[in-house]
Amino acid sequence: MHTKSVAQLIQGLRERQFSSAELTRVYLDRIAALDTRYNSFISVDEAAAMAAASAADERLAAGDAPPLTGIPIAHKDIFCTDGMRTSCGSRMLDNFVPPYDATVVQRFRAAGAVLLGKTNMDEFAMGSSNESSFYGPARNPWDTDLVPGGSSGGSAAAVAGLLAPAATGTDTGGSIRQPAAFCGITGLKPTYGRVSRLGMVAFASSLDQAGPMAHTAEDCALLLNAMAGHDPLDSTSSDTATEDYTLALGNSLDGLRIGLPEEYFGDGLDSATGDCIRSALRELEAQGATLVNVSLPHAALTIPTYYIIAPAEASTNLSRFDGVRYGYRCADPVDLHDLYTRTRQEGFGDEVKRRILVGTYALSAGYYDAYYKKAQQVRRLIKQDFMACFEQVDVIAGPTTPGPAFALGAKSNDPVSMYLEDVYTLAVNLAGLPGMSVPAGFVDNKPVGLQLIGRHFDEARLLNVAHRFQRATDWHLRQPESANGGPA
Amino acid sequence: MQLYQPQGFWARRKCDKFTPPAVSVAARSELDTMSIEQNEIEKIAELARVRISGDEIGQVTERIAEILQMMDQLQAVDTADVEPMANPLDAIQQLRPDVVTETNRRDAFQAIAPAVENGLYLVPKVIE
Repeated sequence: MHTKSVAQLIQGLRERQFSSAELTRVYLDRIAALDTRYNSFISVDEAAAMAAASAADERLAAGDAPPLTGIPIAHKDIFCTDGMRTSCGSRMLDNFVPPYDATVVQRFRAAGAVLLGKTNMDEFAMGSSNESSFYGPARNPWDTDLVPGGSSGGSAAAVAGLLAPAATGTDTGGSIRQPAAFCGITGLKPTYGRVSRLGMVAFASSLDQAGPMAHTAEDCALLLNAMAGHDPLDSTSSDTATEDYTLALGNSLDGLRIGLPEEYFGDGLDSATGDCIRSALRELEAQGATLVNVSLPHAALTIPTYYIIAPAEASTNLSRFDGVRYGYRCADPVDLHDLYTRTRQEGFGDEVKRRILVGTYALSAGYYDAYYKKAQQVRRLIKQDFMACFEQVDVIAGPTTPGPAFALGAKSNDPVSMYLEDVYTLAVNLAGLPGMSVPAGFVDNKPVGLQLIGRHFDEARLLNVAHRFQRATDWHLRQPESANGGPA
Repeated sequence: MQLYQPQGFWARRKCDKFTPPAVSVAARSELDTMSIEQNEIEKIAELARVRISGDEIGQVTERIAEILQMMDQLQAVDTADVEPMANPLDAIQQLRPDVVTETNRRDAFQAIAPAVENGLYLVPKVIE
């Protein structure tokens, strides 16, 4: 059962090949047996999962069950879950049990999904390797000495290790796409505002977006159907109409124009990774797409732009963690100032504190214009580059990352080198566009991801391209040996 | 050098006790070769209400200096007529009718607080 896609599991449940209780038990047993290797879950609630599975089986028997009824999933531990700890990978929220569900969580419950548990992540989603988690790093199922990527590394490792058929992630600068690429799965960051942010612990509010992570594009479409839509409780959520994202999956790619930004195929790209990407593009060309060279002239500025805007917004968002209303509080504060400063010293990890300081600096009087305003101006130039490309092409394609997964510890003491990992993904968030990572080959048994970028609200087309690619290739079906009991 | 002046809320309070600490910052002309000194990091940490211990401050300063150096690439870009972009869709604030929609869940929210009494959140004494 655990090797099936979500689409196949839906069919199996409907045809009574197995029950949700049986299916959920399989995944819970796999988590118990294998997650000591991957550390992909922070919290698992077996009793709640089995109760939800039994309820799903009753709904399936009654015959009017919504599409995901009985499908086990995992949520990144950034989504508030009523009555279940939501740590955000931080000591600050290690004891935080929310009294409400995030809209995403609520929507999955309404769609009948069974929550297996909450997945590991970089602390407050700040990281590209999962190493900044308070709960220790998640590990890559393809080689447990490698990082799974981040920040949604636990979700990617859980899906790649076949501990959950699908999971949610969030993506502020690449945090769905980069771990999806590193772990050989499919991940979609929707258009900014497509999925509600209510109840999703805020990192950078003008960049954050939740999305699905699964084995196939079809599964991502099924999950996005449950997630997407306007939420009156999130003032930044879009009221643009949603669609059934599965309908266009099989459309022909005849006449599709795919733009290849020269900046994404330059010196920084590992040559073997580049070969995988070029071979994937030839497959799309063989299916009728036309490849067009395009340019994103401001691409080189995305890293400094992002690493001003994201920490600035983070420093504001994370000011709420003060040891007063919820979360960690230092012991025996001598006065209010001591309560604030020591709670935050002890509750936050190094990378989070660095970003708070950088963000506070960028927003402080005298530096605001030179940093924050400047970054917002360059952000517009970056978006304009994409808009100009989309006058020529329908989809932009390139690598998700400069190379395959790196070793644990390789970059953890060098923030700037870690930031460079996000060079191809950050611009998509700055421009608010939808982006995907699709398995496109291997380099030394390490997965490589093809990135697809679309126009605003053009998720259906990205899923269509990815689905057609997956019908012609089997990269997304490969399984790591460790997931089948082999060596890690 | 210019000195940070309390603005907006802090200025209206006219209350020294709540005024953020003064931070001396380099004038724009000194930004070309940006570097940051340890005492500046200490001031920023105070503004952000994050304590950095004495033995960490050197390394924190070094790391942040590297990050700021990377950011200085932006200074070369001509953005004279470019409108800053705060929202990727240039969306405007959505409004709703000014009516009560939430139920009172004070007990549920207070149940997860570190210290409460009589429906209030407790903090160390602030008035001597």
